[in-house]
Amino acid sequence: MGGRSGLGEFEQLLLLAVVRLGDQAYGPEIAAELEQSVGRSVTRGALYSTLNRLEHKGLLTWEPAGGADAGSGAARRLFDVTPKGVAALRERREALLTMWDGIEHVIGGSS
Amino acid sequence: MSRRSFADRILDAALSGEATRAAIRDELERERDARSAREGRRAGDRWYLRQAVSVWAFATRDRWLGTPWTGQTPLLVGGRERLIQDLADGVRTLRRSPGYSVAVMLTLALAMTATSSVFAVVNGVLLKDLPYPDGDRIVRFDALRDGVPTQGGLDYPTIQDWRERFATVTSISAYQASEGVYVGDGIAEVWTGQATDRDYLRVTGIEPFLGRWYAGTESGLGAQTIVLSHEIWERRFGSDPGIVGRTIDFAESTWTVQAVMPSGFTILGEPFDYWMPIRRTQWSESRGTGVFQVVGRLEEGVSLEAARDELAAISANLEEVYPGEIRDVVLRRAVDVEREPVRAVLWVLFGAVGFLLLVACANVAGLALARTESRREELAVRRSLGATGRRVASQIVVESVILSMLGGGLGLVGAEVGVRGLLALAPPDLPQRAAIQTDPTVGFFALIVAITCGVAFGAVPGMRATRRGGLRPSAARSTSRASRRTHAALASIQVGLAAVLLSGSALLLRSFSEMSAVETGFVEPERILMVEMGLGRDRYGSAQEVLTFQQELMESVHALAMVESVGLSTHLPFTGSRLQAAVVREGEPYERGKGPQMGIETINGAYRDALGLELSMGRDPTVAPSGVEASREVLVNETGAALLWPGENPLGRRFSFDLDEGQVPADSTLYTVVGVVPDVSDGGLDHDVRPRAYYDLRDFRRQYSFITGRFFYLTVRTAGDPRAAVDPIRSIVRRLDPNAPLRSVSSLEALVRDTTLPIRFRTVALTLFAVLAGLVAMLGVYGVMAYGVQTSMRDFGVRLALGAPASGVRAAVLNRALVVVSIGLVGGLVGSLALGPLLESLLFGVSAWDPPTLLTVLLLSGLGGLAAAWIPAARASRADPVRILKAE
Repeated sequence: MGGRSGLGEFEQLLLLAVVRLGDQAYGPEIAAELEQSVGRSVTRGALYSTLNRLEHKGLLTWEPAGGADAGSGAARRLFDVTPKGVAALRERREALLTMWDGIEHVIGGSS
Repeated sequence: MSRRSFADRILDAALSGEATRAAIRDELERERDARSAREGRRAGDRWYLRQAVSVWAFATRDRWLGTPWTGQTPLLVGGRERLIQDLADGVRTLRRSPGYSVAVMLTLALAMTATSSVFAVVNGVLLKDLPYPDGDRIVRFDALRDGVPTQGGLDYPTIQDWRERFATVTSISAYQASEGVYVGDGIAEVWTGQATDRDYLRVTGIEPFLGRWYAGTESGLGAQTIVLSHEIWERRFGSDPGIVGRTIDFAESTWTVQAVMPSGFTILGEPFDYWMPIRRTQWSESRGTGVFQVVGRLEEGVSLEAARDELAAISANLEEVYPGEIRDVVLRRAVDVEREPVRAVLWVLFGAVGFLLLVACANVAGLALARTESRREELAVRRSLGATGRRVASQIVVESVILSMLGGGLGLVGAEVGVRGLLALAPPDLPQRAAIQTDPTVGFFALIVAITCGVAFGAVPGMRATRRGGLRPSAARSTSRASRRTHAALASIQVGLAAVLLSGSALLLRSFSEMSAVETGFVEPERILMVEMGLGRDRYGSAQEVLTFQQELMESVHALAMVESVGLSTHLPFTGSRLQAAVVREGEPYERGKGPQMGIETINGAYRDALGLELSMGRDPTVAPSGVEASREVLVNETGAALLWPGENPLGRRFSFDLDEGQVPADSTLYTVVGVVPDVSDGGLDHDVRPRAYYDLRDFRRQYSFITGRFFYLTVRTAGDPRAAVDPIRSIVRRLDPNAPLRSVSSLEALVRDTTLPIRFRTVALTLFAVLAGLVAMLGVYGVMAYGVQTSMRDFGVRLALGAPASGVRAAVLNRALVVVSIGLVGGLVGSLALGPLLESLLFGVSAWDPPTLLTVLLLSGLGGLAAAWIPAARASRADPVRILKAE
C-alpha cells in the first residue's frame, strides 16, 4: 500500500475537484464542483481552511490569476495540485482499488 | 457595489493577510451577488453572513492550531502539540495553587450560574422560535380603543370581509373565549376553551394527535363537535384511543369528540381544555359589536408592513361602504404581542448578569495578576532560558481558560437550580415557560462566555508577563508599582459596575415599596374571601333559578359562625375586568363614541359590607319586588361622581348609558344615583382608579338579560382567617347543588399580592445580582488594599520606626482605598445616569434619576468599600518595623 499519504476524505475530494477543474479551479468553482459531483455542500470556511491545510502540506499551490473583473480589483487565487499532491492521490487510489479487489460481488454496483 | 456590512466586518477581523483577504472577499461577494439575483437580496445577504461567520470560525481555529492562513500569524505558538502541552502544564501548575484555583473557579461559577440561568430564560422566551412551523408569521388583529390595542374587540361581518379581500394574510380566523362545566364520574369541573373558526388550526399548522379538526360552519349554529386537549383526554378519559366519535355531556349539551390535540399544544402560549366551532348569534352578526379575537397567517415572503398597508386600504374601503362602523385595527405579530410585556425586564436582567460577570472577571483578573506577580522570579528564569514573552503569555491564558471553563461548567450545573428559582419567582403569565430550560444552546452560550472570560482575565497578567522583568530589585519595584495601579484600576471597575447594579436594585426596591403603599380602598382585605362560582344552564336557565340559588347560598354562608357578611358580584374586584359603557347625563345629547366611560358592576346581597365599603353619602339602592318595575337606583364611586358632576352633590342625579356601541339609549333607562362609595383599586396597584357604578343584579337583569348571573364571585367577610371558611362553604355548595363546582377560591389579599408579582420578580432578581456584585466588588477592594499593603510593608515599617502614629498609617491606607472607591463610584454614577432610561418603564412612583436613592447607594457603596479596606489598614498600622527591617 506504500507510505501513508495522510489525506483525509474531504481533502481527497478537494484535490480531485481541483484536478477536474483545471484552469477554472477557483474557490467558488471548487465548491460548486463538489456539490454537483458528489452532492457535498460545504461552507466557505471549511473550504478555505482545507485548501490552506493542503497548501501547508505541500499538496496544493495557488497563483494570482484573472483578477481585474468588473466591480473588483482583487486577484483571484487559481489552485493547482503539486506533484506531491498527485502522488498522494495516486497512493490513495491504489490503496482503495486494492481493498475493493475481489469484493464487488459482495457489495455490488460498478467500480 | 460592495456594501460594508456586519458580515464585511467579520471577514476583516478574520483575515489579516491582504492578498488572501481580498481574494476571499471578492469570491464571496460574487457568489452573494449571484444568489441575490436568483433568490432575492435578503437570501443573498443571509448566505453571505453565514459564510463570513464560517470563515471567521475556521480561520480563528487554524490560527490557534498553528496552521494560519496565508498572511496570518498563529495565535498559539507551536500549534496543536504545544496546546496540549500547555493544557497539561496548566493543570499541574493550578494543582500547586489550590487556594487561587478554587477562589477563581468559585467566583466565576457564581457569576456563570446567574448568567446561564438568565440566558436560559431569555432564550426560551425571546429567542427561541414558537413551537409551530414559521410561528413568527402568525399575526393578530386587535381593535384600538383610544389608541390602545384591546384584545380582540372585532365583529364577524368585518372578519368575513377581510377573509374575502386580504391577499397578504390567509387563514383569517375568529375565536372567542369559552367555558363550560363537564360532569363525569360524579366530578364537576370547569373547562376553559375557545370557540373558533375552522381555519384556526391552519394558523398554527399543527395537526391533531387523534382525529381531524372540525370542518366548522360558516352560518347558523356551530356543529356539536368538540376537540379535546391532550391533558383532558389523559386525565378525564383515561387516554381512550377510541375517544374520537364518542359523545360526551358538556356544558348542558351533548358533543361529539372530533379530535384530540397533541400533548403540550398551546395556542399563542395559552393552554386550553377544548375547542369547538364558533356559535353565531344575534350579537355576533351586528357590525360594530366587537366580541371576537382574530388571528391569521402572513403569506410566504410577505412583510408585516405590506400586510398593514393592505389592512389600511381595506379599512378605508369598508369605511366608505359602512361609515362610522369600522373600528381602527392594529395588526401585529402574535409572538411580539406575547413577548412585549416581558421583553424590557428580561433584557434588563440579562444586562445585569452581564455586569455581574464583568465584576467577577475583573476580580479574578486581579487575583491572576497577583499570582503572576508572585511567580515573577519563576517567569523571569523561564524568559532567560529562551521562552518568548508570547509563549509565557499563552501559557498563562491557557491556565485562565482552564479555570474559566471549570467555573463555567459548575455554573451550568448551578443554572439547573437557578432556572427553577427564576421560574418560581416569575409571574405565572410568563410566556413560553415550557421552552425555558438548560438546553444545548445554553450550554454553547456558557462555553463561549467561559472561554471569552478566561481569555480576557488571563490577558491581564499575560501582558504583564511578556515584559522582561528580570530579577533586578529596581525592576521588581517598578513592576510592583505598575501592578498596583492595574489592581487599583480593576478594583475601581468592580466598584463602578457594582454601583450601577446597586442603583438599579435600589430604584426597584423603592418602586416596590411605593406600590405596596398604594391604598387599595379595601378594608382589611386579609379577611375577605372570594369564591368563584359557575352554574350550569340546564338547572339555572331562568333568572329566578339563578337568584334563588344565590339567595340560598348567601343565607347559608351567612349562617356560618365565622362569617360577618356575604354578598356577590358578577365581576372580580381589583382585576379591572368589567363592562364599560359610555354614560350620558340626563338632559344632555348623546354623541356616539364621545363622552365619559364608566365601569358597570352588578352586585347582590351585602356586597358592600363584605368589601368594607362604607357609604360616603346617601343610601343603598332599593330593589323592587318581582313583577314591579325596576327601581333603577345605583351607587357610584367617588371618582365616578366627580367625573359626572364635579363639585356638585350627585345624589338624586340621573344618567343613562350606552352598553352596546351603536344603540341609542331610551329615556326610560335613566338611572338615579342614591349613594356614593369610596374608590377601590381597579386593575392593579399601578392603575388609576376608574369611575364605576354599582347596580343591583336583580334590577339590572330585567333590562339586560345577557347578564345571567350564572357566573359570579361570592364575597365573604370573615371574623378571622378566611381560609377557615373554605371547607364549610364547599360543603354548603355541594349540599345545594353537587354539580355546581367552586372554580377558584382566594383571599382578596392574595389577589392584591399577585398583582405585585411582576415587580417583585424583577426586584428580587436584580437585587440578588446587585448584592452578589457588591460582595465581589468588596472582595476586590479588600484584595487590592491587602496586596498594596503587602507590597508596601517595608515603607510602613520605616514610617512607624520613624515615629509615625499607627492611626496615621491606617488613615493613609484608607485614603488610598477612598481614591480607588471614589473613582469607581464616579464611573458608577455616570453609568447609572446613562442607563436610567432603560429602567424607566419598570419603575413605579420613582424616577430613574431619583437623587436621594442614587446618593444613598453611593454613600453606602463608599462605606462598604472603606469597610473592605479596614482589615488591611489595621494590618498596616500594626506592622512591626523591627521584624520587617530584619527580614530585609
